[in-house]
Amino acid sequence: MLLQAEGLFKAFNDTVVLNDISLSVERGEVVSLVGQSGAGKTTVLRCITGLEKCDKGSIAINDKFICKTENGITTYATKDELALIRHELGMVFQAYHLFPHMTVLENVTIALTDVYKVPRTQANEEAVKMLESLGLGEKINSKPSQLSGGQKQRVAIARSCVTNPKLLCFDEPTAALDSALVVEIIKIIRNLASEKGIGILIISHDEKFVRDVSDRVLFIEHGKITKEMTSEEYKNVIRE
Amino acid sequence: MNYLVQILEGLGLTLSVFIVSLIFSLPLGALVAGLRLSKIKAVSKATEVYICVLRGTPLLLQIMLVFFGLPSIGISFGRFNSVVIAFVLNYAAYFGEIFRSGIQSIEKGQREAASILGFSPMQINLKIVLPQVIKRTLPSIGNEVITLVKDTSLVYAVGWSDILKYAKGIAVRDATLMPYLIAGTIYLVLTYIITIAFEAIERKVNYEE
Repeated sequence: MLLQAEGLFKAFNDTVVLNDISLSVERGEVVSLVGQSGAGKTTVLRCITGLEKCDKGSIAINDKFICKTENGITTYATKDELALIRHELGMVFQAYHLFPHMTVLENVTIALTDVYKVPRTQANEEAVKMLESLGLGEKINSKPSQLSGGQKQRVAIARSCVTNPKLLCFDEPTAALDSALVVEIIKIIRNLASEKGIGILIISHDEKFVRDVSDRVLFIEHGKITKEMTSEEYKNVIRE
Repeated sequence: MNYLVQILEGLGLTLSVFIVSLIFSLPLGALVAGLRLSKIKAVSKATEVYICVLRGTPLLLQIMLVFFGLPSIGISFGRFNSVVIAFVLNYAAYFGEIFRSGIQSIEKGQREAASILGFSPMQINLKIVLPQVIKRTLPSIGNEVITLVKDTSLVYAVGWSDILKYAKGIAVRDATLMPYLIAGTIYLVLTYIITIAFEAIERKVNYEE
């Protein structure tokens, strides 16, 4: 199993946000987590990516633990361990969070050159290839402020994918996109899963998008996973 | 012309106080911002007190305190160093607050995105935060730098003759306002040069056009 999360609990002060959440994602599988605003979707994602510490529970990515609860005691990955786990992880934020002072190419290559120490020429080649495959070949020297929402989204995907993560998380990927761009993003995500074998976890409340992109759908309500459906079952529900 | 030549004798002092103060107060300001944002409460609080005192009392008083006050307890820096120390400590407090607001204005998501890409906190600060902070704080820094040029006239308090002091001397001697007009024009030229320089830097670091 690529991602295995079990029994996650998280509270902010007295408000319980996650209440015994368990989920998993396999290689090449697209799993969506759906639910209303405030249901706890984003917190799940933040715990899985190590941006937030859950109070209790275990999260393992490719058998490496971000946190683990044993005999009632929760331990967390050290900073160095977390840095290693993040080599296997990518995240596309709802607001993209591209680096505004860098060009598209620099946004995509900076992790390769500065974190993975890939030589610049090789990093540029890999990034250009990735950007071209996403239809952004002509935008490599543009700044993020010169891009449309859909283009920013694709740059964010390229930035996350160029380091070859095994698990890619998407936070509300269609929130700022029109329907034509949503179709394009579905194609890109399905390709990443089927061709590269990347496990994908999406949080979204866009039913049609979730229907068309997911292999499996999990429903979250008040911090609990209440239902799980296969893609076919979910398609029937949405059709009705 | 004769007045101009006489007044320009003070230009060297004005420029040297300005340049040395700027060179030291900018990095010290960055350090002050870092300490002010420290997670260690005692450090953050102590820096807050420093900023409060330095911004809350007149620069003239601080110059006099360093030059006349400290020797009474056996600490003496000499005239130039005393003036520069007072300027650096004062301006670092202002620059520190400007840098702090710049750092805090960077969206949390920028740091989070960088950290998920695997950047260390140091790399995040240098590669992601700093370039954006520079761009955002340049207009405010420019304002302070212009104020610094004009504040150099406070060196008269320690008996030194800068542009304004020379102008005043000539004006009293010859009963004319012309030296003041010349001194004002010199300050105007200096601040205009700084304005042009900052506009050029702003254009260079502007990534939104």
